[in-house]
Amino acid sequence: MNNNEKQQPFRILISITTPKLADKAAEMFILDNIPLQYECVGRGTAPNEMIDVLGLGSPEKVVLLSFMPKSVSDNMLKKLKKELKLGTVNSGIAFTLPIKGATSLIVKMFEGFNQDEEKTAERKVNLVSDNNYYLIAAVVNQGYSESVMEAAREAGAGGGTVVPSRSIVNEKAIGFWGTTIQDEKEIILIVSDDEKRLDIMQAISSKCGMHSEAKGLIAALPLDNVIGIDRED
Amino acid sequence: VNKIFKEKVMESLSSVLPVAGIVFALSVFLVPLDVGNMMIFLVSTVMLVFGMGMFQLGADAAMSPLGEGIGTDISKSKNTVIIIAVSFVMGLLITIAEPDLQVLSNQVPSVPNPVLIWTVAIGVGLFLVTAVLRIILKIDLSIMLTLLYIGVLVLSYFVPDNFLAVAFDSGGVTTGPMTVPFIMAMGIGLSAMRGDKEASNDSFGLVALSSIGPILAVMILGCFYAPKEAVSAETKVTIVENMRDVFKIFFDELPHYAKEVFVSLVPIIGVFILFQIIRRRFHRIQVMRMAMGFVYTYIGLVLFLCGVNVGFAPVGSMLGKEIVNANYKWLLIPISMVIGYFIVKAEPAIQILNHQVQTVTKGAISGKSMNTALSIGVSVSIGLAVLRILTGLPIHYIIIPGYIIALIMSRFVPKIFVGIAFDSGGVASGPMTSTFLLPFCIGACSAVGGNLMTDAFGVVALVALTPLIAIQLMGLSYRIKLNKQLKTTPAESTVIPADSDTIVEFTEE
Repeated sequence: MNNNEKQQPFRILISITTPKLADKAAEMFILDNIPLQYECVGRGTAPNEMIDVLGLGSPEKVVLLSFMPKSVSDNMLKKLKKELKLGTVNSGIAFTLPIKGATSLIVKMFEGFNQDEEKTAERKVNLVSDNNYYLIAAVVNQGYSESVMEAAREAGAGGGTVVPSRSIVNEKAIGFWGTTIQDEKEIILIVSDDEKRLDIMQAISSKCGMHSEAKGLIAALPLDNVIGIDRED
Repeated sequence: VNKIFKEKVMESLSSVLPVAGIVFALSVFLVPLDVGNMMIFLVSTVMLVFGMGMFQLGADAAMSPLGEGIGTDISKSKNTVIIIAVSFVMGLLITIAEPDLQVLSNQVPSVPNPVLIWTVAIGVGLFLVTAVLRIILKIDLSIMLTLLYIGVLVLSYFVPDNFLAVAFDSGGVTTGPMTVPFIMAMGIGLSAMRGDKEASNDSFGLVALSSIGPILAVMILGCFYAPKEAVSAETKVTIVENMRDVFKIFFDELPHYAKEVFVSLVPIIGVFILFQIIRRRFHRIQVMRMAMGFVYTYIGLVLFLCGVNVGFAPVGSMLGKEIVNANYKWLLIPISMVIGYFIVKAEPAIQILNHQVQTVTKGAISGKSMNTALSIGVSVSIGLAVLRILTGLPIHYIIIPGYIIALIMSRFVPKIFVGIAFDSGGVASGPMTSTFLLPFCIGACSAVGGNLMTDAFGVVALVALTPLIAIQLMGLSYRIKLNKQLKTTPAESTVIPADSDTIVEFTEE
C-alpha cells in the first residue's frame, strides 16, 4: 500500500493582497494551469493608531493559497511580482512555504507540464532570499488583533494581516438545540526576517500570551521565498 | 492617499452622480427648472456625495461591528430567553431610530404618530425574534416567508383600499439606512459561530422577515382607524434668487435633521454602551474607532437626509408634475424607468448589502451583479408605479401576483438567493425612494388628477417587490448555468484514479 515514492520539492504559494489583485492573481494561476486554489478573506492592519481610530486602517485583504512544485512556484512568484507590482504601497505580498507530504493526486495534476516550465525556471530564478524569512502566526481571542499588532510593531514588524477564524474545542462545540457554536479567534499573520523574528514573537507573547486575556499562541514557519517585503510601510 | 478613503469617495461618487446627472439632464432638456432650484439641487448633490461616503465609513466602523458583536454574543449565550429578549428590544429600538419612519407616520394623519410608530416598532421587534428563532430552529426561510405573506395577502382584503398602499410602503420604508447595516451584521454574527454548512445561507433573511412586521402592523391599524384622505406632504417649492438664499435654505433645514438624526442615534449608542459594559467585547482602540464611526454615521446621515429632502424632493415633485403637464405623459414611463435604474445605487444601504453579499458568498455573487439585478428590478417597479398613476390600476393587481411569483420562485432558487432577494427588497426602498421617487409620483399623480392615496402611494411597495423577483431570477440563471456545466463536463474527468489517496513525500534538493 505504502509506496511513498520521493518526489521533487513542492510548495504552498500564499499571496495576501487587495481583493482586486487577488482576482488578477487567481486568473494568472488559471492561465498557467495551476489546478488548486483556495481563498479566504482577511483584513490588513493599520499603520498607526490614528488611522485606525479614524476607521481608515483595515482594508480588506484576500489570502490566496495554491499548491505547486517548487520550480513552478519560483517562476510564479516572479510573475506575480511583475504583474501585480507587489511591494508597492497598498498591493500585498506573496511567499512560499515548503510542504513535506501530500496526496498523490496533487502531484499527478502537475505531471507532464512542469518539464518545459522547469528549464525556463532554472535559468531565471534568482529570488530575494532563501530560508531567511519567517511567517509568524499568532492565534488570539477575538478582538485582540490590535494589541498583537501594537506589540509586533514596537518590535519592528512592518505590517500584518488578520484572518477571522473559529476554534474547535469539544466541550463548547455543541450549543443549544443542536446548533454548533464555536469560539471566535483571530489569526494574525506577519512576515518577518530572521533577525527580528524572535523579538516580535516575544513581544507578542509577553503582551498577548496565554497569561493575558488574549490567550495567544504564537508560532513561526520557515518561508522558502518572499516577494513584496522590500518596501513595507 | 489612504486606500479606504479613496475607495469610499469613489463609491459614493459612483452611486450619487449617475442619478444626479440624469435629473440634471432632464431639467435642462425636457422640463427646464429655474436656476435657483437647480442651484439647490447641485448643492444637495455635493451633500449627498459627502453624506453617503461618511455614512458608509460609519457603518463599517460602528454599526456593523456592533450588530455582528450582538449577533455572535447572543448566539453564544445559549439562553433562549436572553436571545428572544435581546432580539425584541433591538428590533424595537432600531425601528424607532429609523428616520424614515417619522416621514411615514406624517403621511398617515388618521393614525396618531406615537401609535403608528410604536405599533410598527413592536411589529419589527416580534418579527426579528421570529427571524432569529428561525435560524436557531433551522426552519426553511422560503416556507416561513410563504406562510407569512399568505397571511399578509389574506389580511389585505380586510384593509380599506386607501390604507393598503401605505401599509405595503411601510414595510419597505422601515428597513432603512439605520436598520439595514445593523440587522444584516447581526444575521452574520448569529450564523458566524455555527459550524454547519447552512450557516452562510442563514446570514440573510433577517431584514426580509423584519419588513413583514410593519406591513402587518399598519394593516391591523388600518382596520381599527377609519382612514381619512392622507396628507400628501406636498413638497413646498421655495423661490430663491441668489446664492445666499440657497445656502440659507440649507442652514434653516440643517438643525432640523441634525436633531432628528441625533434622536435616532441615541438609543443605538445607548445599546452600544450597555453592551460594552456587560460583555466587554471591544477593546480600547476598537471602542475609539466605533465612537468615531458613530460620529461619521451621524454627520453622514444628517448631510444625506438634509440634501435629499431639501434638494431632491422638490425637484422630484416638479419633474413629475411638469412632464405630465408638458404633454409628455407617456414619456413618463421610460423616463422614470431610467431614473429608477440609477437611483437604487444612491440608496445608502444598498452598498452595504452588496458588500455583505460579496463577502459572505466569497465573491461568488459579486457586488456588480447585485447592482445590475437591483437596477433592473427597481427600473421595472418605477415603470409599473407610473403606469398605475396613468391608468389608475389598483395595486392588488401588481402586488399579489408579484408576491405569488416571488414565493413560488423561492422554492426553486438556491437557498442563499432567497435570503438575499427578500432582504434586498427592504433595502432597496430607503430614503432615496421615499424622498425622491414618492414626490415624483405624487407630483405626476396630482398633475394627472388621480387619487393620491391609492395611486401615488405604493411606489415604495413596488420598489420593495421587484428586487425579490430580479435577484431570484439571477439565482435561477446561476443554477441553470451550474446544471449545464455539470452536464457538459464529461464524466471521465471526475473519475479519480484509484491510488490518488496515497500520501507522497517530498524531498528538498
